[in-house]
Amino acid sequence: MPLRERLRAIPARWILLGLAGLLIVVLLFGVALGPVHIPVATVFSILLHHLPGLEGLTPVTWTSAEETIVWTLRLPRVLLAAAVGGGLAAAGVSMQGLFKNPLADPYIVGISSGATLGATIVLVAGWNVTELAIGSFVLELPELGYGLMSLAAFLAALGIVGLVYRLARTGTGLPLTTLLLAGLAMSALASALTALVIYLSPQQRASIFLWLMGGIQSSWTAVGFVVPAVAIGALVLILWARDLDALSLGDEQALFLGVEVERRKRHFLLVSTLVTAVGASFVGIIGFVGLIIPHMLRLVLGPLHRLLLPASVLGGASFLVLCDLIARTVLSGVEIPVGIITALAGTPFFLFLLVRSKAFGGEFH
Amino acid sequence: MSAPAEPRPRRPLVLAVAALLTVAGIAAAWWAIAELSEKPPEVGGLSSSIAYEGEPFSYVPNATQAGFWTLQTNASWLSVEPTSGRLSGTPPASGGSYYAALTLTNANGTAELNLTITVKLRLVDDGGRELVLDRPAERLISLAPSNTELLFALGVGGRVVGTAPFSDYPPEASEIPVVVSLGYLDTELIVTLEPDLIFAAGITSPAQRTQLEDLGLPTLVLEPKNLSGIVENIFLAGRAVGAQVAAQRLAENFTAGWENVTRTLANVTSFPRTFYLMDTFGGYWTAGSGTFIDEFIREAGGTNIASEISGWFIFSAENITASDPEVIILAAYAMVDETTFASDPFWGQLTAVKEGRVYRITDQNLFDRPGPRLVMGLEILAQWLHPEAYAAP
Amino acid sequence: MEGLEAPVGGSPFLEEIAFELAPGRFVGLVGPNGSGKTTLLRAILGAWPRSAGRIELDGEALDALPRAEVARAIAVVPQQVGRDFPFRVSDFVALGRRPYFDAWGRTRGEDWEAIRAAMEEAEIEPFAGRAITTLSGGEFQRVLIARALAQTPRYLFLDEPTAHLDIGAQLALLDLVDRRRKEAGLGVLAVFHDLNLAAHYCEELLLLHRGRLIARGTCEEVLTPTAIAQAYGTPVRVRRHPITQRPFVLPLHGLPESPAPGAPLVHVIGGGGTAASLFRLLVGAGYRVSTGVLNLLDADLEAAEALNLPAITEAPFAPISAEADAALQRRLQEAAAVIVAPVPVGPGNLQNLHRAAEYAATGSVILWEPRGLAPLTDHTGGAGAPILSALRANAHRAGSGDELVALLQRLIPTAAPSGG
Repeated sequence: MPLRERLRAIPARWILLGLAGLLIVVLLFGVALGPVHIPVATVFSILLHHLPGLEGLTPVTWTSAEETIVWTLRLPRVLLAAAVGGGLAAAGVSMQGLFKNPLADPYIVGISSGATLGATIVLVAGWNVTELAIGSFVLELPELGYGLMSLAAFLAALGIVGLVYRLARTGTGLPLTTLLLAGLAMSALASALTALVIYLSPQQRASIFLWLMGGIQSSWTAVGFVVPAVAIGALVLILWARDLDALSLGDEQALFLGVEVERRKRHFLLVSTLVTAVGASFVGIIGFVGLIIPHMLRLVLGPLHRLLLPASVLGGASFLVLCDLIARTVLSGVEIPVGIITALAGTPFFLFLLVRSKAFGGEFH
Repeated sequence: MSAPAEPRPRRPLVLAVAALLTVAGIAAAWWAIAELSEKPPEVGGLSSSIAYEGEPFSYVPNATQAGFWTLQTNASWLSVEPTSGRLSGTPPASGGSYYAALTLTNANGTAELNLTITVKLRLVDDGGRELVLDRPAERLISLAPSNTELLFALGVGGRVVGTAPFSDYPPEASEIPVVVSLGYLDTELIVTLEPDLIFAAGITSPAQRTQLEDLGLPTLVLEPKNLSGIVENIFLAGRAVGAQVAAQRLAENFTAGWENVTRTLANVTSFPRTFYLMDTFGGYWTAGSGTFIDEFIREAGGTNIASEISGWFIFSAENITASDPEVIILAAYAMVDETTFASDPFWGQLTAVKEGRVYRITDQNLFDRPGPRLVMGLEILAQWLHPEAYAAP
Repeated sequence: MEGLEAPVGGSPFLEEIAFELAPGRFVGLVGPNGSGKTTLLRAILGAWPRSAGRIELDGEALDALPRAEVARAIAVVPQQVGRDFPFRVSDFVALGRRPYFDAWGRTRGEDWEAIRAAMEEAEIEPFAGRAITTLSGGEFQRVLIARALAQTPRYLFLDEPTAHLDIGAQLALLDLVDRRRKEAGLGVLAVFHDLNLAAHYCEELLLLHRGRLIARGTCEEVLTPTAIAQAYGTPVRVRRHPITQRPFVLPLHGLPESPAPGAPLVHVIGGGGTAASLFRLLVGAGYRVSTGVLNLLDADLEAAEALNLPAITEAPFAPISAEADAALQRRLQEAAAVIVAPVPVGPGNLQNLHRAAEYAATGSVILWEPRGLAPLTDHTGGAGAPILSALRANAHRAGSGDELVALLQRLIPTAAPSGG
């Protein structure tokens, strides 16, 4: 495929710079566009105005409503979308390399069902519950309001993955097939529990469905949690990129190349889980980003993770910001859950890739 | 000259001819008389017919001859038109059978037709479906709290043998056995209760409706779209249970309350921008056009900022900001903490918050249940939106 | 003690095995399938569980070392592995530097240099930019070697490195390894399935059989027919490679069944390789065969010895002595027939032909004249002419194996039991 050869000839740094540039453009689009029309110049002025030291640069010609929309509603939302999208893509690359399977996604070890279970329990118990009583043991819960759901989702996701890990771990190592099966089993269990809880409280069914579909909030708090987590996580994964290359050749070869195989697998699993769970606890389950973006970029840029990881982070961020933009502007005034858009956008891409790869004789990677 | 004896044998011939003529003449006369006199009349038609309570009834018998019709019947509401024999009248109540004996009299005699008229009750529900009952229903089942409230308000609460969950108003209603559990109808229980009529509602799910169809029991769906629809429901339910008088009274009360609001707000000049927040999952859920809330806001003298879009939907925060509502109504179960609104970057910049005009509904049933108490919700809303109109003079 | 010392034992597949690998040495690991060669490699490096034995790398316990340090010292060239991901060749080789990366994973100058040098040595620079999935078996094996070399190890382990290669590629690869060994002083431990390749390159061999080390030592010491027969269950002959003088293992293909003790004896007179093909044919037809007089080092003698045929021998290059001649006469008395192969006749072996001509007067002599071999020619300058003409006059002739066997069956009344 001549395109691929040409692309692979371009040095890595230009590709990454290009993707970074794309992300910046997409972010600006995301802040400038929305259901309420605000002139682009105004948007820029508002943004500049908030940068420390540059307040005096432009006179205030906008309404407070416009300022709220741009700074309080749109900006944190696109930043959150970028962080979550990048995190999911990075986690997706890790999982695909770890499992040597291009169909792995970040949720594969049970994160999605765990997070959903945690959120459902809080939702049904009442979001303003302040204490949890089990028998005579009373646990004081922090007054987080809505944030309690995020915390519960995060902890439950980690809990499920921890259980999966313990189940799969043998004395000497972490066989991947067992990990996968344990992940499937625990996911099924968590999903069944969630379904049971929902069934017993019909009022909450719609709410959980919406949470499952994914929705990106306009919350600087969420940004404050997610952006640093994803940034650090992605950076760490990129540093370990070569180990992912080695692991993708097989456990034994990686061992001979000097990789502490079992430790590294644990590390990758842990970091991917944290990055994914932090995102999921604030925005729900957004699918396809962690599967499509790494896959597409691998087809085009090759399997070298030192390039693929940062490229996926940037690509995933741009993708999710764009999907979120579509989710909130396509039906004027009405917001569609973003998970629907990613699925609608992702599926044709996926099919296109499938057809293309079959046409080229099964070069599926 | 006279001739001597002429033939005497000629006279028997004449006699014979005369006799023959006479016989023929008598026969002809007999035949003519027979032809000219008429048979008695005959009548035909159905021997039984159905009339519907409150609906004009009409019946025309067949007759071979014209004549004069008379009626003998125990139906006080039934009368006959003498020349055509047409029966007409409007039965006031269902559940009974009447006999009617029609007699046709004319010069040729009389004929009788005996007719049995059964009066039934025909109801058309909000889904356009037609239901025919033999008589107003006695044993009732309600599948929605709003229906339960309505039936109790009509005074037939004692006849409700089964009800839906959360039927908590009036308090007596909580004692009635619940026939729905976890979203499914308890069909065995329903059948055991031997209801005459089941009142379904908009909240009856498709699965439940299928179950109802399988049961084959008479079902009425009450699904009002607006306040007028509630009034229609009152009358429909009243007819269905034979409580027309109570229905009349209830409808008048309801309309009076409604008109009271309209009157109080007659001189209002401003219609504050209002935002109704139902819930916050996935975004800010609000009610657009075509919903009860939308009508409420309009009737209560406000402007629903979400009315350009129909139905229930997630409203974009940007549009909310841009519309800058002056009044915010929070549903009782909306998951927000309004005490933090003032310091919240999004909520805090809305006029409603700045002016302290954020109201949370306490009894959500006054706004959500499409029953007779809905008018109370309307009053509350009107007071919130236009306190100046309700202030003591 | 420098080097790798590895007593390994206790795993279900391997019993006590002890050996050393010193820098600069080429040690070969041979044995039949399932004898544990690859397992041993894995066990040494910790990729296979080991319950006993202590492995020392340059004096330190291997198990205690961090994997990266082990990888800096020992590089492994595996058997052809799956090429699932289309890495570029240069990136793939660069993975060999992984043990040297610091926490930031940056590639330093010396890393690039090592990669470049490795690719140059392995001669894979022409396809450095191609994907590994597009390479042939031989090219990819060289890439694997390059990756191992890029690790700049002190020891190199190879696991059947020639398994999928044609003979030219095999030699090229091993020459490369050997060159590096000499230039850089690498200690090489290689698993071979081809004994002759092992004999060619290794200075020391370890022969494994069912997880046990049954022989250890130099190639000559290890590659004996007894040891090989014990390990592989195949009879072989060990010769010397004409150029390297290293042991050269000849599997004895197609050994025919030994003839019955009472079978008729056929004596073959030949030499210089002319009679070699006859031996198998005759033994296969059920006859007892003997030959001579042949000089030691004669090719026909080699063939006779391979088939355990009795032969009358004479010292190399010497003319036929009286004892040998007497022995020949005695043998001819026993023989039911004599076959003369078209050996060049010279003063040294004329006596053989003389006895054959003598025999022809009373017995059956067949002149073996297959197409492709020059017929019996006289190089005695005329002294042998009468003998040869007498022989030709009285002898039968056979031009093919079938003809020969048919002739023999006719001539020798008691026919051989098993044919062909």
